[in-house]
Amino acid sequence: MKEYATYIGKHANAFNKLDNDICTLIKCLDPINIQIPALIHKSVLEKIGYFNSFPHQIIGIKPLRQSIQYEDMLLTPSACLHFYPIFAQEKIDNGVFTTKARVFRNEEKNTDGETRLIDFTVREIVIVGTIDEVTNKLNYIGNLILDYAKKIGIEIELETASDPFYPSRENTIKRRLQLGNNQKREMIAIYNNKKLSIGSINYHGFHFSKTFGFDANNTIVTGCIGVGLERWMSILINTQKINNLVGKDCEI
Amino acid sequence: MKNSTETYLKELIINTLNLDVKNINNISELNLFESGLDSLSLINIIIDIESTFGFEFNESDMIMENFSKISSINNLINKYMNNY
Repeated sequence: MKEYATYIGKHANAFNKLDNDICTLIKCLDPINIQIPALIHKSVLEKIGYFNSFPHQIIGIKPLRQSIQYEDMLLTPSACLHFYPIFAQEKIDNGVFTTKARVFRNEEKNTDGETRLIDFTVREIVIVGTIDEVTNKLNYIGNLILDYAKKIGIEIELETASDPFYPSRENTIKRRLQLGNNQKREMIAIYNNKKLSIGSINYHGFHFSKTFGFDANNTIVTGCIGVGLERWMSILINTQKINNLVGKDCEI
Repeated sequence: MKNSTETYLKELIINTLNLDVKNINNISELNLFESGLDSLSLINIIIDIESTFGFEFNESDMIMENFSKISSINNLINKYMNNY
């Protein structure tokens, strides 16, 4: 299958170990776990302007043998989108929150079964707090992940980047604002002589806190770090560095 | 030109943010982010400015601080107008 990745035995163990290691890295920040579903209600995406920014990435659901379509339900394209309605509902204005989630993005025909999938797994870490708290924690966690990657044999560099916005006048301005304010940094690994993003560090400012009404009079902002687990696995397997995670096989 | 730019900007900001000008002492120095400016309204303001004056801001000039007050947006526009 080119649309998703599966692992068995040692590789499945490595996949879980990778995620557990990242959770251990951030344990000192007392992260709170959040469990999210595969589906997301259309209204959440509408509220944050996702249909304008990334309409090309959204995937809906439809039963195979019925003509009805669950038009209000979509597959979650980004794990952190579930967090903001929760922060608003629970009146949360500070802390570190995390989830491991499957997310879904339309990649048209560009899937390769390893690094470009329509169904993939992220370890998502979302930070809420003042501007200083969020930027400091984003940098702190980002550096922890970079050091960890190096330790298991993946060299990463941070690069200022922008999201893959749908081409429109409005979105070219979003792109320039994102680049000009250094709001997105990709964790770039060199793999097969190509640059591969294996995670990103995103500062949202007031975008979500204002939209969902938990900005506490312009004092609370958010940021997130997303780690694409299948991409890490692809590099580790293809460079024979998977043993750095789960040890060598028995040689009998 | 400077005065007309500032007048245009004031009108644009007041209309976009629905500001009640009676309660504002010095609108040029008002912190716009504390007065309702969010990412979507900022994009609409930038679209209006770029369409009106016929230039595009460079990424390096699009830092939030440059859009935090009418006076700072005015300075930014003047910088571009002086270069054209």
